[in-house]
Amino acid sequence: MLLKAGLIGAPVQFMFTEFGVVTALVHVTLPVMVIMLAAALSHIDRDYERAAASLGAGPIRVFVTVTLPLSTPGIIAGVTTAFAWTFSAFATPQLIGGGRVNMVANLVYQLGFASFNFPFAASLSVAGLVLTFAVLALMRAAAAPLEKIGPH
Amino acid sequence: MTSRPFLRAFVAPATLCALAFVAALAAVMQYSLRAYVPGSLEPGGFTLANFAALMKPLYARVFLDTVWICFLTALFTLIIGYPLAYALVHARNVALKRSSW
Repeated sequence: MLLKAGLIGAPVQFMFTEFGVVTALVHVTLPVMVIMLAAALSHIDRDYERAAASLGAGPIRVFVTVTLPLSTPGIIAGVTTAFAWTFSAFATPQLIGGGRVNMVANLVYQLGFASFNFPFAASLSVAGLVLTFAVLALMRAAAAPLEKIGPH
Repeated sequence: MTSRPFLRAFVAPATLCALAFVAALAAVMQYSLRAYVPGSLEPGGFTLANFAALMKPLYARVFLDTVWICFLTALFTLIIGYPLAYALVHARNVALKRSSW
C-alpha cells in the first residue's frame, strides 16, 4: 500500500533487522506505557488547565507549560518500566531477530542450550542483571532534577 | 498492622515465592563462578574465568546493542503512548472511555 502511494521505494525489511525488533518491542510495551501515563494524566487536576486557559494561554501553551510538567512523574515511571520491560525481552528478538539481532537474553539462551556452557551463560546473565541495575540507577539519577517540577 | 497476626497468613504465599526466586538467583550466581568442563553438564571448581571472558568486545557489543534497543523502544513507546494516554483521559464520550479503559 505504501509502495503504491509512492511513500517508500522498496518494501521495508522487518524480519532479522534491528528496526523490526524495535517495532515489535514497541508494540509489546505500548499498553504498559499507556496505562501508566493515563494514570498519571488522570491525577492532574483539570482546574490547573482551566485556570491557565482562563488567563489567556492557548491550548498548546497550556499543554507545554502545565500538563506536560505535571505529568513528568508518570513519564519517568513509564520510561523506566518500559526500559526494564524491554531489557528482559526474549521471545520477540528471538523470533523477529532470528539470531541476527542479539540481545542479552538470546545470547544467554544460545550459550546455555546450544553450547551447554551453563557457567558462562550464568555469568552473562549475572552481568546483564548488574547492567540493568546500573542503567536504572543512572536513569533515576538523571530524572532526579526532573522530579522537582512535578506536582508540589 | 503488626498487631493483627492473621495478616501474616496473607503474606505467606508472597514470601514463599520470594524465597524460591532468591534460591534460583543464588543458584545462577554460584553457577556463574564455576569452571566450564567441555563435554559435560557438571561444572568444575570455582573460578573467575567466566567474568574475565565477558570482557571480549563481542559481548560488550551485545550489551550495548541491548541497551540501545531498550532506549529506542522506551523512547518510541513514550512518543506514541503519550498522545494515546492523553486522548484516553480527555475523551468526552463516556461510552468510548468505558470501552477503552
